[in-house]
Amino acid sequence: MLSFQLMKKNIPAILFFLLLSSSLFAQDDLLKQLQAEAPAPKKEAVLATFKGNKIINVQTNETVKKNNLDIRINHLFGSIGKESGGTFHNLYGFDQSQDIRIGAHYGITDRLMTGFSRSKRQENLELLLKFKLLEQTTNQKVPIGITLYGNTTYSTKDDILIEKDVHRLTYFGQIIFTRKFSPKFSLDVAGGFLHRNYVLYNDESDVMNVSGGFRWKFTPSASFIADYSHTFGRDAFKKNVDVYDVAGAGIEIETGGHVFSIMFTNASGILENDFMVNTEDSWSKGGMKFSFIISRMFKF
Amino acid sequence: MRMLLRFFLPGLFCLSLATNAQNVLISKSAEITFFSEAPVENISAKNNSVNSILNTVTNDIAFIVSIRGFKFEKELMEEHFNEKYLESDKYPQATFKGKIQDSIDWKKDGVYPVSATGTLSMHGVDKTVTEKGNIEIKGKEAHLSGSMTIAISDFKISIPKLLFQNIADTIKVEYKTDYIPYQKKD
Repeated sequence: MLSFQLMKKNIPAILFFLLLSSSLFAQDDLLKQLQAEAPAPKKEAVLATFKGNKIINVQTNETVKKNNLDIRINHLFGSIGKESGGTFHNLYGFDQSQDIRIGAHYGITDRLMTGFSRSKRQENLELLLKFKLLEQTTNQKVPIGITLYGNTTYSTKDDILIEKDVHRLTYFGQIIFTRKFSPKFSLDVAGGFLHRNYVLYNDESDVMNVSGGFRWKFTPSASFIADYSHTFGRDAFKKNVDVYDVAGAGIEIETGGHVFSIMFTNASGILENDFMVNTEDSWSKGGMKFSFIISRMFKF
Repeated sequence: MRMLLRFFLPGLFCLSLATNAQNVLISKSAEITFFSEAPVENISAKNNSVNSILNTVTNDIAFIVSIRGFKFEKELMEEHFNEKYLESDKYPQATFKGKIQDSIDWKKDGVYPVSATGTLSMHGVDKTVTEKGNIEIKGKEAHLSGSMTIAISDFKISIPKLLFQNIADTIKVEYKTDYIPYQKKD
């Protein structure tokens, strides 16, 4: 009875609170109601896992979007260290151009890219194809991206050892696994296979390769990038020739329509078909080289 | 008194729920476009991933905008917009919740100039804004449109001046929404 009396007295207060609370929470409720009502977020592909087709030497998941043309100019200077030929006289490799690649990459669809390039060192013409088999999604239902890459190179070398035209060809295929762990950090692991139609004595035509790298975005426009590439086998060949794994590190800076990559690597060439098997410079012997890429995107 | 407690209050509660649903309008289609004029190139984007809800009793209004929904002419711009400026990985939505300040006769057809005050949340920043627009009422449906100017620095969106001369400090945002009576999903 006492409690009923209490209730009776408090009815206006209870009503008041009911009304107050409903008006107080109305705005939040409306937003929540809308949040519930709004269609579930679409399955969106994660953007900008990496900023270019390669980290430094290692392929990424990135392709050029549909009807976009990416003109890429990649310059690899000479070795910096004295032991590998870097001197004050050639400004530590700055005067040398170990390799230059000029390429055009075109997006056939948002997931399929083709490209054509010329590289100086092995006088290679390159035709490439890259396909995003699986894209990581923002809702993490697909936690990784899987990308397929393949190219063919044709060397225009004037070399007495090349007896047949077919000797000028090499083929490279790769499967690339990528994951953007956070807006700041992306990781890349890839397995590759290279076939060369023509190899030197004791060398192997078919080699397997494993590589990986990451991107760490430390400001909205600048990232630290690094990668590593190891090629298996070729024991007989390695007895006579020093060949090394390839490591690279650098900084990527992005402006409106350009990405500048400033990098250091011991790679002897720019294309996989070359550096995977022909890198005779090592970091420990001063074989690192300065390298940069300028990329300009055109939209059709 | 006991009767009142037993029947009247629950009844009132149910009634308020019922009216609640009836007085809510939800967007059937909504579109937000923005335009930024700058020396090098003008930048524009269109977004159809916009949802809105409106309560005609309380005059409360809310918007949810998916940042990834902004579609640009150039994909690279879209990537920059998402990755560097709006950071849509971290802040996937922009929201507005507020109240229409003017008293509107929702039962009468016509065009009403309105202003709404509320909180605009974007890029992790909440800002109280008052914006003007027009509401056109036609039977049970309503149409809201207007434009607003947003200073990007208000939302901690920083653009390094040396590198990005092609982006203006303020952007003009236009919105239009068609509302229909809200029907609870079964």
